[in-house]
Amino acid sequence: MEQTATLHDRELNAGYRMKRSAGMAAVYAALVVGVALMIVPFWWMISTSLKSPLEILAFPPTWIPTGHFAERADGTWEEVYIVSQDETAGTVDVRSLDGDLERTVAASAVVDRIRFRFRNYAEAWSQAPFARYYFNTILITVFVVMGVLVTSSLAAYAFARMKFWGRDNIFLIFLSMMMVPQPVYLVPSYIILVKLGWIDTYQALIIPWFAHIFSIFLLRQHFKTIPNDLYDAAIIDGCSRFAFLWRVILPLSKAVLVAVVIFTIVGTWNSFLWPLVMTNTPEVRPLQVGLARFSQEQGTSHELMMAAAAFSVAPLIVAYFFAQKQIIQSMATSGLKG
Amino acid sequence: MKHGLKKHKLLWVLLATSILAVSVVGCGGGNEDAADGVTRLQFWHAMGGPLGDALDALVAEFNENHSDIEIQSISMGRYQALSQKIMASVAANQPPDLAQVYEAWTENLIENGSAESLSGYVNGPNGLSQEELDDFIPGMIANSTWGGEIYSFPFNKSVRALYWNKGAFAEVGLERAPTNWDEYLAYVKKLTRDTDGDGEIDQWGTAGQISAWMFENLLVQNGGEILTDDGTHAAFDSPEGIQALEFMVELLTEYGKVTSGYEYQNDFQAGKIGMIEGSTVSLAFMEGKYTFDMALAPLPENKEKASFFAGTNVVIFADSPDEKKAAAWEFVKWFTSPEITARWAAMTGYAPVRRSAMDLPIMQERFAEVEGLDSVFAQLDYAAFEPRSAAWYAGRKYLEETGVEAALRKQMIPSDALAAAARAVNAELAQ
Amino acid sequence: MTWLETLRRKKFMDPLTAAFYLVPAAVVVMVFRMVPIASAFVLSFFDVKMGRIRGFVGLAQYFKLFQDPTFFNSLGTTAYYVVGVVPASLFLSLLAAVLLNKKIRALGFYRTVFFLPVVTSLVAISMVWKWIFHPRLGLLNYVFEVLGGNAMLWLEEPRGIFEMMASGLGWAWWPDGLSGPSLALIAVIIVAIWRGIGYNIVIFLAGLQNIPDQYYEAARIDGANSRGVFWRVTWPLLSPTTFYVLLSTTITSFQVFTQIYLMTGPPVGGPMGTTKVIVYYLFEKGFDAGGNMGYASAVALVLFLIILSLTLVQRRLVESRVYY
Repeated sequence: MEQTATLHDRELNAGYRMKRSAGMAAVYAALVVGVALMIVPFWWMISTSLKSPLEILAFPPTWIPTGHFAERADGTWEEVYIVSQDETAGTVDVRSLDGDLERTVAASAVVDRIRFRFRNYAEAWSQAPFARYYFNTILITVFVVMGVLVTSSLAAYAFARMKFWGRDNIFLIFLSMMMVPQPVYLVPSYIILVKLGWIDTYQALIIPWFAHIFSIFLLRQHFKTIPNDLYDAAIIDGCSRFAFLWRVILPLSKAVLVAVVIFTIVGTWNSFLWPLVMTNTPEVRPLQVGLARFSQEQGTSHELMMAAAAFSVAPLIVAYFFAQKQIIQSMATSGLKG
Repeated sequence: MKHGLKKHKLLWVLLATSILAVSVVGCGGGNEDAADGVTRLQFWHAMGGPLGDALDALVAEFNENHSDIEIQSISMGRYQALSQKIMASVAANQPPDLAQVYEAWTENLIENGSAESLSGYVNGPNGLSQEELDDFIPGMIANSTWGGEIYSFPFNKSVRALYWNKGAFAEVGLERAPTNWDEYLAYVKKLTRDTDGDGEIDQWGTAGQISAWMFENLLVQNGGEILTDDGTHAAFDSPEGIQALEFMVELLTEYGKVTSGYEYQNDFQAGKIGMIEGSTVSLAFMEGKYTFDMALAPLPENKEKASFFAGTNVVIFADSPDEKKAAAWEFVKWFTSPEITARWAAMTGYAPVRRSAMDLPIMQERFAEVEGLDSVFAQLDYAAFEPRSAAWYAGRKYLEETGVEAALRKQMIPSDALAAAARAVNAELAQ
Repeated sequence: MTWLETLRRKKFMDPLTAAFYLVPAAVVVMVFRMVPIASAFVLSFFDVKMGRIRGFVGLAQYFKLFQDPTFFNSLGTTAYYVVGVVPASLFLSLLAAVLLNKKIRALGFYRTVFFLPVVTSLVAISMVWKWIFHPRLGLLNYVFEVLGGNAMLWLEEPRGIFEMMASGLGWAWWPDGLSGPSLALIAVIIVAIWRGIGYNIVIFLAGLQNIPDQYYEAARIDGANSRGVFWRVTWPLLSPTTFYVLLSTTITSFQVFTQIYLMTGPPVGGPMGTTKVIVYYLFEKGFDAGGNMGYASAVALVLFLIILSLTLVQRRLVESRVYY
């Protein structure tokens, strides 16, 4: 009886394990498909950005940038495109990509090689003032981050640790403002910026984003968790209210502050509708708006568009690979989906 | 607390300086006029790609030759974005000094008091003689005139042209472009074929985009009208219009392909299409990108010859200071001079706005380079303008979306599509 | 006794000190949030053309709005979009999160990959997907053809998907009103799901990891199979998270703009206006030809009311079934 039971158990376990490992295989298979679906668009962006203009027009498309190469008379190789093919004679007419020399060579003398056209990046970079766009975005981001840090920690401190008339009501009003989506107040904001004379200036892209209600909320929640004993001790030590914030609270809140910095950077770097409406000239135009303009110009070719897209997202993606854990956490707490 | 106060001050100073720094650094838009005697002005346009390059080159040349004027050329990428930016900037009382505009926008701007009348400049000491005015392509100045005042100046005007692949034509025994509708249809039929014998068509007779412009040309070639003579009602839903749209649908869907945007030009460049209709400006975008012998031809005619202009004019904004307006006029005058308009035309494919430009060596060289371009520009003699009211501009999108698009995408038969579009246009015109 | 002293007596802080800390944030919130939100409301009662107020018109703009077929079209399009994005995104991200929660190897890798689009700018993403959807040269049609399917027009296809399915089944007729969202809109929806899924997965994963193990053990001892465990333990205990994801995805979806602006057209909102969502309509009304900002504000207010009431309704409906 005992033996059969064990046997039965073992069989059950083996069955369970087999079932389980089959199940896990299915799980991994599903995840791999998911990963492929997430990665392919990025792959396609990079791959396209390194192709030649003629390769873009090829169908079926190439997964890895590939060019046709033919040998020159002097033994060096050059990239060519195929003008026509003569299958009976086994020859092809080719023309070099740079010159317009057309010649006929044996079909076997043309080989396909993987090659990356990095000059697409230089070309895209120079076709629009991307250097300026980059500078603008960095400048705007730096100032917004600084502003948000200063205003949010001060306000959060007041909300968390001070008693004053109407505090909770004011806080509630702040929170309710957060619920109103941006498109709702876009038009009046434009009029206000007009009245301030700020249309098409950096101020228009910075100052309205100096206060970030969610950051205030987040910091306030955190400040509240810091025990009162610490405060009492500090006051006995002769520490002022501000010094307490500066020396005790902020150092204890590094993790939250980092989160605020991260989602502010990502949000500012990627914001689009606001700067689209508030800027006119390339002097203050941030990267995303510049990229959109570039992509909508008639005649911008696909490989240059993809190159521009790639170098516009590169800084955040590189940062993401170095600090993915913090970034994911920060974005998840912020509720910011971009 | 004392200690704290100091800290307070420090923080205030920090905040204040950062705001100040932003305001100082942040004076974008070039509003600050340096007292160096140079008049700086902003010119907003929608010229991208090779057109933008050509325009920037000419603006740079103008700036070099005029040490006291500096024009800042700002591209908004495309007309839709330009329109949004101009309207918003006028609302903000911060318009540019000079901008490309369609006639319908001009009407809005005049109504709002934002467009400067150019008549004073034209008749002024730095103006144009009657002889020079007569040298403009017929109708261009009249189309820029409202209530006797000239408000805009022709800037980039194009007409439609037929682009044909001579090699593909030769393969089916054709030697020249079609000159009338019957030939047009017969040729696209011949050109639509399966070249490698796999049972699938790999060369189409023609291709095009959804375009009210193409339909308008066909409509008038077929003896129709866009609006009634008094401009109050749609007239494109006439039997002539229905026939024209049916013809367009047959061309582009039976023997051709409809693409969005300018993709059809890429297909043509890749040698997959026998012939396409395009703007003369398509030339600038295709230059050097095709590998076959290509030539241009005027549009085939039917009951009548007809060709509509497309493209914009420039206006000077009334709110700019006088010296900027004078500088802007100087630029407009320079840009529309025979020599410069000829170079602009040679670079981009836009029609020169002056008749005498055609005889200049630069245009003659261009005609020698591009087969058929001269015959395409010969259409300027009879080219006409679309209705230019703001109401028509609003209504035109119904012709394009409800009428032409619905028919080309086989959502409605042409007569129903045009009737629906006419209803929408009439509602717009009645407002 | 001054009011200040009274306040101090009551052991309230010196209001001036508090004000000092609050002022920087409060000024910005006031000028750039409260005032614009209030003005949006006020503006909707005025006729504003090209930045000039041309008079008080009362509710006239709202009457006009409710007779404006383009407005209703944009509402319908937005509704299709929300309905297309929200359930699919919820389902897929929950599925992925449950799979990732199975103590798999290299969890961090998968999470990193799924989250990647969330930090990527929507402008770039829209450009890349527009290229993938390219009817002739696009990757997607290539893959379809390899798999034996037919190439489709994607962003250029104005036909509704139900109508397309019906004609695919060989039905000659399909009622006009039921043709469904255009394939072009479906393409935009696919991108939105792709973009947002990583965010939802991370939230769901956090929720799943908060469920104590003993609940699972208890359910297993009761003899529940894995499906039973999911419905009896995971789903109810996860419901606050699900509710949050539902709410935030819905609200974000109602505000879609960037993808529409970059992927559709020209003209934006095409083909045949089947992708013109409400925020784009607002943008067009406020900042394009004629610049009717009062009318745009009326549109904005309706958008706000919809989001607000949906939030409230959703909260009530779901709260009754949420286990905290």
